[in-house]
This record gives sequence, C-alpha cells and structure tokens, in this order.
Amino acid sequence: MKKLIDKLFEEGKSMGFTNMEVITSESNAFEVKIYKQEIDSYKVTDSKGMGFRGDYEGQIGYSYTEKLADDSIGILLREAKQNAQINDNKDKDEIFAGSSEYKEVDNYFPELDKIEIREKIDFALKMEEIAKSLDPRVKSTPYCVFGSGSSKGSLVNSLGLDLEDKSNGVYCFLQVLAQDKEDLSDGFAYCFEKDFSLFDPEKIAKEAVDKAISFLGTKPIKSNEYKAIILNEVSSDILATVNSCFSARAVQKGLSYMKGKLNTEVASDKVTLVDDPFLPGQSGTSSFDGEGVATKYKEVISKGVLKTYLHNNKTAKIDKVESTGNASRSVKSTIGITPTNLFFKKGEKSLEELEKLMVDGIVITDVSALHSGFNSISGDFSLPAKGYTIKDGKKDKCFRQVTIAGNYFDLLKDIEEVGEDLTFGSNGNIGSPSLYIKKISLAGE
Amino acid sequence: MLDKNTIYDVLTAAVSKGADFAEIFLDDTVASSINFVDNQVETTQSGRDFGIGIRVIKGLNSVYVYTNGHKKEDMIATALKGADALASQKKDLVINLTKGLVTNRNFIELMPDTIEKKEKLEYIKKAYTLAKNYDECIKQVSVSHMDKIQKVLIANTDGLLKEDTRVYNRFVISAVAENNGEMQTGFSGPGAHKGFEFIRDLDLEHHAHRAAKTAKTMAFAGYCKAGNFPVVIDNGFGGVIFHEACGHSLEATSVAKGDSVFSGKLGEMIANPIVTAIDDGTLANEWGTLNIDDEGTPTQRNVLIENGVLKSYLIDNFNGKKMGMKSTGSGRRQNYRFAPTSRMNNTFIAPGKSKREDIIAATDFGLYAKQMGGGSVNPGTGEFNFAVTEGYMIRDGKVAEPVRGATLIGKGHEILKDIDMVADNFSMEQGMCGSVSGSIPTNVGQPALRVKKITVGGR
Repeated sequence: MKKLIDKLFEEGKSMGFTNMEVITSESNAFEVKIYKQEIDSYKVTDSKGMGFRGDYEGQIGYSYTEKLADDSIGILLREAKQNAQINDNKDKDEIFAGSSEYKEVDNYFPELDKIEIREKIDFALKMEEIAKSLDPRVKSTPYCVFGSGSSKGSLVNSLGLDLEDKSNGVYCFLQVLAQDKEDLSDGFAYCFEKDFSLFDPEKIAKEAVDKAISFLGTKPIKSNEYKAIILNEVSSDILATVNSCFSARAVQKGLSYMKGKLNTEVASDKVTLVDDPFLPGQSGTSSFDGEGVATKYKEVISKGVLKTYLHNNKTAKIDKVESTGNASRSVKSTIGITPTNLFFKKGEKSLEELEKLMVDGIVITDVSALHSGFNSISGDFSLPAKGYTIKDGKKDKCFRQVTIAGNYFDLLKDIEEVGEDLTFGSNGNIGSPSLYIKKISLAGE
Repeated sequence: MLDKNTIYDVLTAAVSKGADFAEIFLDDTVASSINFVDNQVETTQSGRDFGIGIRVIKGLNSVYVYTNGHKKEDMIATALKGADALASQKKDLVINLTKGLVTNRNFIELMPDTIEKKEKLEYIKKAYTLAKNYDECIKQVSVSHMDKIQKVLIANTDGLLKEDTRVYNRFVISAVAENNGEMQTGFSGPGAHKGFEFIRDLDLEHHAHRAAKTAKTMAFAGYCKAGNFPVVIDNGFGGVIFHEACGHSLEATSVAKGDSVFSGKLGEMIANPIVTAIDDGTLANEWGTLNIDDEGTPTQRNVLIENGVLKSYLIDNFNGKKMGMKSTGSGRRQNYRFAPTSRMNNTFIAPGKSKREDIIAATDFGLYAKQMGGGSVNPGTGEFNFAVTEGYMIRDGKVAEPVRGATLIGKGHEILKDIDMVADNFSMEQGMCGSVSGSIPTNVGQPALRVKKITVGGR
C-alpha cells in the first residue's frame, strides 16, 4: 500500500497536482443468518479501497478505486483532474496539514476477534431455537443473524500527515414473526455490546417475541391528540433521520430549520444534545475526522439553546469559526459533515416514572417509513406507529396501524421530561433516552 | 474480463471441499457523478468499483464470499474460505465452461466515459436555471447527474459463462420552495439503461418545472386531515404502491420461506378482477431492464397477476430450487458485494379502460395523490406505507385544494382487492429499490387508479 501511495503522489506531481491526499480502508466481515435451524446465508468478506483527492490548479478533484493495483493510478489521476477542472465551487476544500494534538480513543477490542465462527453460528441457532420455544404463535424468524467485523483506516497526505485508526465490533439481530389465525405481527431485538459475555440469546429472543406477540389481535386507537412518550430507540431512529439540520453545510445552503437560530431556544430547557467523539466502542468514535482534524466534545444544544453547528474546515472558514472536527469522508465520498456520537443527554427518570408522570397518554414503541414519511428539512413527519396506551400511570393496551404526525422542531419544544434510558439502538452513533412529549397527533380509527 | 483458466481454477477451489455448486460474479464498474447546488458544483466524484463475489451452494445451504483482490491467488484464497464453510465429503464435479450468447436489448449510442464532464455540466446548469426561474418561491435547487458502466462476468460450475455490459444514465432534479419560513420539496428523477444520448434527448424543462411545481404547490398547501377514504393515485411513480405493497411480497425471497402473505396462493383470486400486474425485464433501454439477470439467466416478461388471479412469483435460481420452480430471470444484486436474490425489474399495473377525469368525477370525497414519494413494506405482515409528495383533496368529483403531509398506510393484499377503477394513462418512472441484495435500479408504473378506501395519515 505504502509503495502504491508513493507512486501515486509521484505521478500526480508530474501531472500537475500540488497537494494530494489518500485515505485507505481495509475491512473484514463475517455474517451468518439462520432460518429454521439451518444456515440460511453465510458471508465472509474482505474489502479494500482507496480514495484520492488532489489540488489541481487551485481546485480539489476526487476519485477512488477498489482495485489496488498500478493500473488504477492512471484512472485515479485522470478522473480527479477532470473533476477538479469542472469544480467551480467558490468555497474551496483544502488539504490539511494536521492538528497539534490528537486524543487517544478506545475503539478496538482484541477479545472480540477471538470469538470462534462456531460460537457465532451457535449463538444465532440458539436465539432462533429459544424464540420458537417461547410461544406457539411464533411462526418464524425472518431475520436471525450474528455478525462481526473489523476495519482499519488511514489518512496520508503530501503535507506529511499520516494518521491511522482501527475498530471492531460484533452484533446480533433477531426479527420474530408471530401469527394468530390470519393475523400477523412482528417484533425485533438486537445487541451491539463490545463484550461478548453481555450477549444473552434468551434475553434477545424474549424481547423480540414479546414485541411480536403483544401486538397480535390489537387494533388502532381513536384519532386524537395524545400526551406521548417516544421510546428511546424510536427517538434515536428519528434523530438519525433529522440530524443533518445541525450540519453547517445544510445551514449555509438554506436547507436547515436551524438557520439563523444560533444562541436561541430551539428546544425545551430539558434538552441537551451532545456530540462526543471519545465514547469507548461507539461507532462514531475517532480521534480525527475526515480531513484529519482532531475531533472534540461539544454541546450542540445546551438546555434548549442552540450553541453550535457541526463544521468541517470549509464551512468553518465561511462562518469564521474553528472546525468542530466533524468532517466526514469515506473512500467513495467527498468531504461532508457528520456527527461523531450525537445524543440527547439523559435525565433521571426511568420509563416507569415517566409513564406515571404522564398519567394518561401513549407510548410510541415503533415507527416505520422514516425515509419516506419524514421531511428532514421542514421537520414535518407522518409515520406509521405502534405502541401502547397509559391509563392512570399504567400500561393499558397495545395498538398498531396508526399514524403519528407533527413537526419535529415543534416537538423538541414540547419535551416535558427526558428519561434515563439512553441508548444508541441500532444506529451506532446516534442516541437518545425516552422523551415525554406534551402532545402528538395520532390518526387511527 | 478473466481468462477461462482462472475462472476454472476459482470455481474448482470453491467446490473443492464437497459443495455441489459454485458461481462467480466479477464486477468492474466505472461510475461518475456530479452534484450541482446553489449555482455551483457541490461535489463531483468518480472511480472504479472492482471485486469478485463467489457463491458456494450445498443442498439448500449457501455461502457468499467476496474480495477486491485482483490476483488469481486472492480469488482462490477467497473461494477456499467459502469452500471451508460447507466442508463435507468431496464430490467430483466436471466443469465444462461454454461461453454463452447474450441477446442485447439495450442499444447504447454514447458511452458515458467518452463524454467530457464539461458537457455533462452544461445540461445540469440548464436544468438548474429552468427550475430556479420557475417561481420566486423556489429558494434552492439541486441537480445531479450520474452515469455508470458496469461490466460483469458470470460463470458457474454448471458450465455457464456469460459477460455483459450495463450502461446507466440518470438525472435528478430537486427543488425547495419557501413560504412563510416553511420549506417543501419537489422532485423529478428520470433515468434509463442508455448512454449519454438519454441526457441529450431529455425534456429538461418538463422535469425541472415538475419538481418546482410540486415544491411550490406544497409550500402553499395546508395539512392533510387524517382519515379513511377513497384515494385516486395517479400514473407513473404512483406504481410504487404496487411495488412496495405487493411486488416485494411476490419475491421468492419471502415466498420460499412461506413468510409472504402470497405464499401458496398461485391460481387464487388475490386482487380485484380489473387488476393485471406485470414485471418485465425485457423492455428496451428501460431503467430496470437487463439482458441477463445477475445469475446469467435471460430476463423475461412475467405476468404476476392476471385479471385478479395470482399467476407467478419472482424467482431466482437458488430460491427456485427450494420452491421446485424455475427462475423467472429475477436474480439481481447491487454489485459483487451481494449474493443475488429475487428482485423486481420494471414492475407495473397494466392500463385499464377508464379515463382519469372520470375516476375523479366518480369520487365525491377523497384524496388525489398526484405524486408519490418512497415507501416501505414489511413482507411478513404486508403492512406498507408511503408518502404523498403532491396531494389534493377531491370534493364533489373535482380536484380541490392541495394538501401536504399525507401518507397512505395499509396492507398490500387488502389494497389489491380495494382497487375499483383503473385508467388508461399508463406511464413508468425510475427508482432505486433497496432490499437484501442491495440497491438496484427498478421502474415502477401504473395508470391512474382508485383505491376505494385507504387509511390516510395526516394531522
């Protein structure tokens, strides 16, 4: 790899590129999927890729290749040159020489690489077996997987920057389909812990089965405005959909609700939104960003007040501030903006306490169609949902086939209380505790 | 792309520990994209995707491995990882590779890599100006162009050896309109299995104005009230209803396991008799068309539902084996990173006899969904939902005020029975369909049709 990069920089220089940069990625992954106690699919992969960017006559051009061979150098340089030549963007990207200091992060867990393939397969088999045994109405497990992966990345440029990071992880995911006569209902559960001993097939199976069974035979509830608790996982999924509103690029482009709202109240004073690149084992954890800038901890919203946008070098220059270390970059993408680990800071109340506090209302346990039913610019949403009602502070009955609708930014201001149950759900780097909201509009019966 | 000896050695390694079938999929793709926002180039990126995916099958078990390695020894090492996973008693398989003919249905005039990026940018700028100047309320326009040349080689231990080249061009225009601080978006995204001639021949004004008009109309619209009432879904992208609500449930991926609501229902009346639905991978130069699918089987025209009766599923080789049925040429994958499985190509509801105007006139109160957005479906339960991106209320048989924020929710198999009028204004549009084997180009389509009752989410 080192040889290839040297050669690339050398040929690039003679072609007229000044500063040049390469990012590389190498990863290995394994995933097994079980269906009816048989291996349904089994995947072993190794991937390599290289992304190039270079300054050609004052503009940056990008290119990439997955074929790491000398015969790709020509394609990389030709494509990057042409891309630079049509790049008329007045805000220019620059190759970055490096930050003064980079904090060590803990994102690689050697023990995880020691789990045998057989153990992984057995775990998935067990998850399914237990799920089937828990209730006769469990029809099948459409999705029962165990997977693992590790990756290594580097950023090397002609200004002398040479950074490296690595990470690994394991995960399991179980979806259960339950049937009672003609009625079907599904439920899922998963685990993303960094310690294999915390993977409990029984717990996961029970959670997925409970979710599926409890909605069998349930009906929509009446259309109305309700007080509501949005469960942690659901809130985390929604934040994952809408978080581009905090990107300085979106703001500068006029594509964000947060435009012009710095240092104003954008949420209830119960809300603090944190971007923390140093959480051990979280998928957004890294000591440097996509441009090689050192990452840092920040509060994006502090007690309801918007404190900062997320910046890379280019947007920071436009706003005359420092980069917040939020540049994104992958082998096949150009520089963008991404949160590191973005989450609502947890409160003190458990879910049960929130339910008691609400007295009467609903708990939203599942939403779907986030990619189609959510306008991440305006914040308007209309999403199919499942959940249960709360009567006199206690769980009453489950419901499904309803739609919840509203505007996310109005909803942030309507947050009455934030729970203690912070989770990053299946999103990896976007987290939330359960949120208790003054009102939400529901369409059902 | 790869010499016969290498193919033979890789396949031999894959079945060296007792598997009864192996297949390789070599993928060498050059892709290029330009994204233009705020009257300047926002991003421009291009490069080469390269890799080999190897599938090893024993009985009804399958293993998938891939590598970006381009050397013969990388490929063989990867094949052996697959072989190891299914290790048992070795069988002697005789592999006789014969280069198969591929019938070309997609005529390409201008290969994208022969076109200067400057020319691509000219068309983008034209579309940008047309959308931006549509109305004062249009505050933001983004235009993207993407093209791709995918070269594939597919070979398997049954002796199949085929190569094909797929060429795609797509133009995506999206417009944002603002009214009283509220922003709404509109979209048009034409694409084809064609060379750059597709872009040269494109009616840019039509697509730019369409995106801008949706954005403007929605910016000035009130919210849709939730309820349960008749919905008239217009042609083109309206076909997403069938794609999401029924198409996915007809894929062997879910049918073979008995998970689909349509499992075991061949020959049964599953829709209103006025409904005929087709998946056709053979339509010349269409976005979802392929000469051969990603298992090397020629694509075909599959009548899925005929006059309400379920006639066929969408089947790939592997699931076909489980179901005891033949492939329908529907094995597809995004690239070498995915094992193929049954997917849609160009899927649509066939035209009927009514006129759109007559359908609206026959509806006292309801929703007219002129433009549909994306959606999703749970193949197990058939529950679907999708967004109406440009909607109007129908009052007294006439199209009335525009409404925003509406979503349609329900169950696919129930909706099929509730389609009670089908118009004759058939058209298709392009989308990217995401599922287990990745994101692939597919067409959706239909004429305007009415669902007599559907749950409309709004507020």
